[in-house]
Amino acid sequence: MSISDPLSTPDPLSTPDPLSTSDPGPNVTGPTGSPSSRPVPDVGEPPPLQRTVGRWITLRPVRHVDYDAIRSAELSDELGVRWRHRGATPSPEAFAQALWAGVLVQYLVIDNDDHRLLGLVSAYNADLQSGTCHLGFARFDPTDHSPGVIEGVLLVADHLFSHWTFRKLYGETLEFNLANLGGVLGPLLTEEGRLREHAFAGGRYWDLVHLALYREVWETHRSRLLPERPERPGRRPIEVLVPGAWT
Amino acid sequence: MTAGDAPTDPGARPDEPPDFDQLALLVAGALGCEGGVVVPEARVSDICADSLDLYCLYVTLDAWVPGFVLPRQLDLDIATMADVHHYLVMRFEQRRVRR
Repeated sequence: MSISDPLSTPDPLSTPDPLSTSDPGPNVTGPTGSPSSRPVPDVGEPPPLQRTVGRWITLRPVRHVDYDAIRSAELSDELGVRWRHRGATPSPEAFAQALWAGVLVQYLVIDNDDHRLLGLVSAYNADLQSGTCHLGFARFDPTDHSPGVIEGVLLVADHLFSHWTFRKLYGETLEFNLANLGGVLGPLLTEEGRLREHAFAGGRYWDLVHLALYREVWETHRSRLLPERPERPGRRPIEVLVPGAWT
Repeated sequence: MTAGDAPTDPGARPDEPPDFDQLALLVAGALGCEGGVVVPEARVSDICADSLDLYCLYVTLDAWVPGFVLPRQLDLDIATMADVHHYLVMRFEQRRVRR
């Protein structure tokens, strides 16, 4: 097997017994002691990296000190009824638990220029057996028309497809949020199901719509939506978030 | 590369800001709409029906001014594509002066 050809098929006669405890040989490539039959990557190939800095925003992991700010945003008049708590006001403790329930990946979306907290993007309920995961996001200021939150969602979608073998990402939203997502349905999202008159809000019932972003569709649009361009790698946001900084 | 055209080479950026017709052509291509729809008096909210359309508009404008955003106080239900072109050219010239 050529070291420079990671796709070549190893000679079955030279493949060691994976249960063997004997010395796996010189081709061990990691701290876990992978068997020598494993293809060795081309030395010139860069290691896979995660991309959290976009042109307009930076994705930053959630910290304990962010909880109050996120809770205030999620329970605000603008977002309270429209997102996951649907108008309820969970306790700080229950809120913290709900924030991490089933989460695989979760980031705050921070503006590169003024370090405002723009929103939250979460990947949750990953089903590795079926190759699916749910993706949700909230824009903390609905009047904000900057491209930051959408860039954050696209970066997380790219992260999920790049580093997990997901076939598709699911999203679900109540009908009244679809107006803002309308055109997203066309090129990117497929409506996979609809629960008629599922949720009550504002004096009437609304449909719950299930959407899906397929890997093939993402790969078709990826370079257009996340183009590689020089300069402006994005300035790292300040490390200390002042609660309520987005107001 | 023609001055004002969006760069096709990711390592290059235009030396000149676009005139409106050049911008309209690229915006129409990015949003998948007819070129004749993107006229100076067209409102941004009519051209960009949703968040992803608006994002694609910004990606197009980013070719001239990295990280470009329209002024936060601008009401996109009132602002026109002529306003978008105006702010893009203004920011482009501001950057050029600073360089």
